Amino acid sequence: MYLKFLDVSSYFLLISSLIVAAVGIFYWNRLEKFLQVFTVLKIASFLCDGSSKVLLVFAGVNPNHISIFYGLAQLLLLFWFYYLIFEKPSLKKPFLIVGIGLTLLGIGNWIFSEGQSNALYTNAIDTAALLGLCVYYFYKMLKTESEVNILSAPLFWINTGLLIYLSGTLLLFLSADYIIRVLKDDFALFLTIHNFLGVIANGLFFYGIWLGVKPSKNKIIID
Amino acid sequence: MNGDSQVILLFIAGAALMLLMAVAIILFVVFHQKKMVQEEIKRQNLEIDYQKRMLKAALESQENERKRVSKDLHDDVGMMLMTMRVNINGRKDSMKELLQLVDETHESVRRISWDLMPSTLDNFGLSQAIQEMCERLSVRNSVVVTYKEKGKRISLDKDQELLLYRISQESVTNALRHANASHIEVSINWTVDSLKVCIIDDGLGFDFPSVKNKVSGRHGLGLFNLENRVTLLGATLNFENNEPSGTILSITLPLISHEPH
Repeated sequence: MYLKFLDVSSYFLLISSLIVAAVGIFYWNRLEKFLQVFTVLKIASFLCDGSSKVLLVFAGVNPNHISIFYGLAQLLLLFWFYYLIFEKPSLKKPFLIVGIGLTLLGIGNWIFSEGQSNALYTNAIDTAALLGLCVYYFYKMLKTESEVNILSAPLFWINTGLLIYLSGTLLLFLSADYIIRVLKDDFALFLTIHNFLGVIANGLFFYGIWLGVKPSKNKIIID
Repeated sequence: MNGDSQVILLFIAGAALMLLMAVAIILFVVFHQKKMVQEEIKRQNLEIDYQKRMLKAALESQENERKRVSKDLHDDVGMMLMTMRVNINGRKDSMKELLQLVDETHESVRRISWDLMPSTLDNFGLSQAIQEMCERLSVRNSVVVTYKEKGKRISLDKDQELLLYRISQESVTNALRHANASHIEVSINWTVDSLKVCIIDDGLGFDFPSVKNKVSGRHGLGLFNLENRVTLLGATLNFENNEPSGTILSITLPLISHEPH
C-alpha cells in the first residue's frame, strides 16, 4: 500500500538533494568553508541515494551497505561542519574522540552485522549525537548572537533542517530492525516519512546555502 | 485494532512527538532571539543617540572655534595688514618688497579665513559655496576641479548645509592629497526626495576596508570624520571604483519636506 508513496517520495528526495548540491557547487567559491563541507555532505547524500535507487531498481540488490556507509559519511562531515562553526580549538579533542569512537563503532557494527538492518542501530546513536550538536548550536546562538536577525543567518536554516530531519528519523533508526523483521511491508511507511522529512530538510538547506552565498564586494555603502 | 497497527501508531506518535519537540525548540530560539535583538536594538539606539549628541556637540564646538578664528583673522589681522599696507604705500621711499610681502600675507589670511568658514555658505547657500570651493581649489592647485549641478535647488537647514559642505571639502581634499588625481568632479543632483553629492576623481583609488581599519592613521581619521558627519546628517555614503581609475564617492541625503528655493 505504501510502496507507491515510497517510490514517489524517494524521487523527490533525490531531486531535492541534487538541487541543494548543485547550488553548493555553483556558488562553491563564494561559500564559507563550513558551507562547503555541508555541500560535500549533500553531494554524498545525492550519490548514495542515487546509487541505492539504481541498485534496488535495476539490480534488485539490497542497498543497506550504502545506507550504512552514508550514515558514517554524514556523521564525519557533520562533526567537521559543527567543529568549523563552533570555532573553538578546545573542542578539537572532544570532537575527534567522539567522532572517531562513533566511526569505529559504526564500522564494527557494519562488518559484524554484514549490512543487515540491525547495523542501523549505530545510525540511531549517531543521530542522537548529532541532535545534541544541533541543540547545542541553538543554545550557543542564543547566548552569543543577539545583534543579528537569525532568520537571515544561513546556519539557522541549516540547523533547523538538521534538527527536524534528525529528530524525526531518530525513532525510525531505533526501531528500524524491529519494523523490518516484524512489520515487514509497513517499513515502506517509515521510509516514506523519512523521505518526506528529508525533502523538508533539503528545502531548508537550500535556503540556508542560498543565504550563505557571499555578496560581491565591489560596492560599499555606509549608513 | 491489531498489535501491528498499535505498534505502527506508537512509532508514528513517537516520531510526531520528537518533531513537535524540535519545532518547539526552533520556535523558542526564534522568539527568544527576537526578544534579545529588540532589547539590543533599544540599547544600541540609546547609545547611538548619546553618541550623536556628543558628536554634534563636538562638531558644533569645532565650527564655533573655526568661526571665531576666521572672524579674528579677517577682522583683526586682515584689518591690521590693510592698515600696514596703506601706511607703507603712503611713504615716499618705496618699499616694494615689504609691500609685496604684506599683500601675500593678506591673501593668505583671506584664504585661511575662507577655508575655515566660507561666508558664501551663509550668504548664498550650499551650491554656491561648493562651486566657489571648486574654483578656488582649481586656481590654487594644478588639478582641475570642476563643478556640475542638476535639478531644482531645495532649501536645507544651515546645519545640513554646513555638514554637506564639510563632507565635500574633506572628500575633495582627500582626493587632492592622497589620490594623486589630475581631475576631480564635484556634482550636485537635486531631486524631489533626495540630494546626491558626488565626488569623482581619476586618481589611484583605494581599498576601502583596509584604509578604514587604519583608524589611527591619517587616511583612517579622514574617513572616520567623513563617516561621523554622514551619520550625523542621516545620509548614505557610498564608495565605488571609477573606471579606468579613481574613486566615486557619493553622499545621498533623503529630503523629506523642504520648501523649494
